[in-house]
Amino acid sequence: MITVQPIRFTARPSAWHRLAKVLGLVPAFPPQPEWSEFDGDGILAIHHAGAGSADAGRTAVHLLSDDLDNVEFTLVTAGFEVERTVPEDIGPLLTVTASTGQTITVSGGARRVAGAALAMLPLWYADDLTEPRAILEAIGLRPRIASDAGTWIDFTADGGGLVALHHGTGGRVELSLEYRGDLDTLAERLTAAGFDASVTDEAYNRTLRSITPDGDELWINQVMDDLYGYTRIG
Amino acid sequence: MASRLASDGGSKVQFNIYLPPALVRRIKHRAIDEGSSLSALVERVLADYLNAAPEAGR
Repeated sequence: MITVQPIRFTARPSAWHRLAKVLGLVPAFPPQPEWSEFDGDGILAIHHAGAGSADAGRTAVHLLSDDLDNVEFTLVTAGFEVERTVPEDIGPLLTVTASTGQTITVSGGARRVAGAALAMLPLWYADDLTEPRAILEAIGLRPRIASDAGTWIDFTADGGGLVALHHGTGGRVELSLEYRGDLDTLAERLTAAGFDASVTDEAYNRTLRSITPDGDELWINQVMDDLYGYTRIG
Repeated sequence: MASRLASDGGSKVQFNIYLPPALVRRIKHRAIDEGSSLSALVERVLADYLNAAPEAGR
C-alpha cells in the first residue's frame, strides 16, 4: 500500500494548522509545532522550517509504504538509484533522485487515508515526464488521467492521495489539492476564516486559488467532469 | 473584483459574467486544443474583437 503524504516545510506551522482545519482536513494527532499530519485523501504533513531557511515554503513529494523492501527492490530493478538511510525520528527512509536532481522519499508506516473530499495532489514539474512517471510507477502509484498533449499525467495511490506530473521547467514541486465537493462553498469557508480565496474557470475545470501562510498560491482543482483533451487511463 | 499579478507581471482583475454552458464548453475545449490558458484565450478573443469593431462599424 502506498499513501501520498506531501511535506510542507514552513516557518509558520500554526497558520498552516489553521488553514488545514478550515480546508476540512483532520489532524491525525494534536498538531505539534515541529511536525503535524492532517488527513484528507492522503495526508498533508506540516514540518517546521526556520524563517529564511532554504526549506521554508518548500513542498516535498513524500510517500508512505507498508512494504519498504519491496519498493526498494522494484525501484532498483527498474534501474533507479536508491539511497537507504535510517534517520532517528523517521526510521528507514528511501531517497530516489531523478536525473534532474529532484528527490522523492518513501518511508514506512503507510496507513490508509482515502475517500475524503479533499485529496493531496503535489505537482512535480519536469521537462520530460518519462523518467518521473517511471519512478512513480515503480514505487506503486497508478496512472489515472493524462492529457492528450502529454503535458499532464496524474497518479493514484491505493492508500490515498494523488501525485501529478506537469510539463514545465525548473524541476520544482508545488502543493496542490483536488476537491470533490463544491468549490464555491469551500471558498466561502476560507474567506470567512480570513483566507484569500477566489474561484476561476480554467480550460480543464474550475480552480480555487488561495494564498498560503508562506505567501505562495495554493491551487485547489475541482475533480474533472469533462475529459476533453484528456484520457482516463486507470 | 479580485486583483492579482499575472505571470507576465501585468495586473489582472477577475471578471465574472454569465454565458450559455455550451459556449463555455466550446471555449474551454478551444483553449485545450490550442494549448492556451483559458484566461489568455478569452483575453485575446476579446481584444481582437474590440480592436476590429471600430473598422466594422464604419
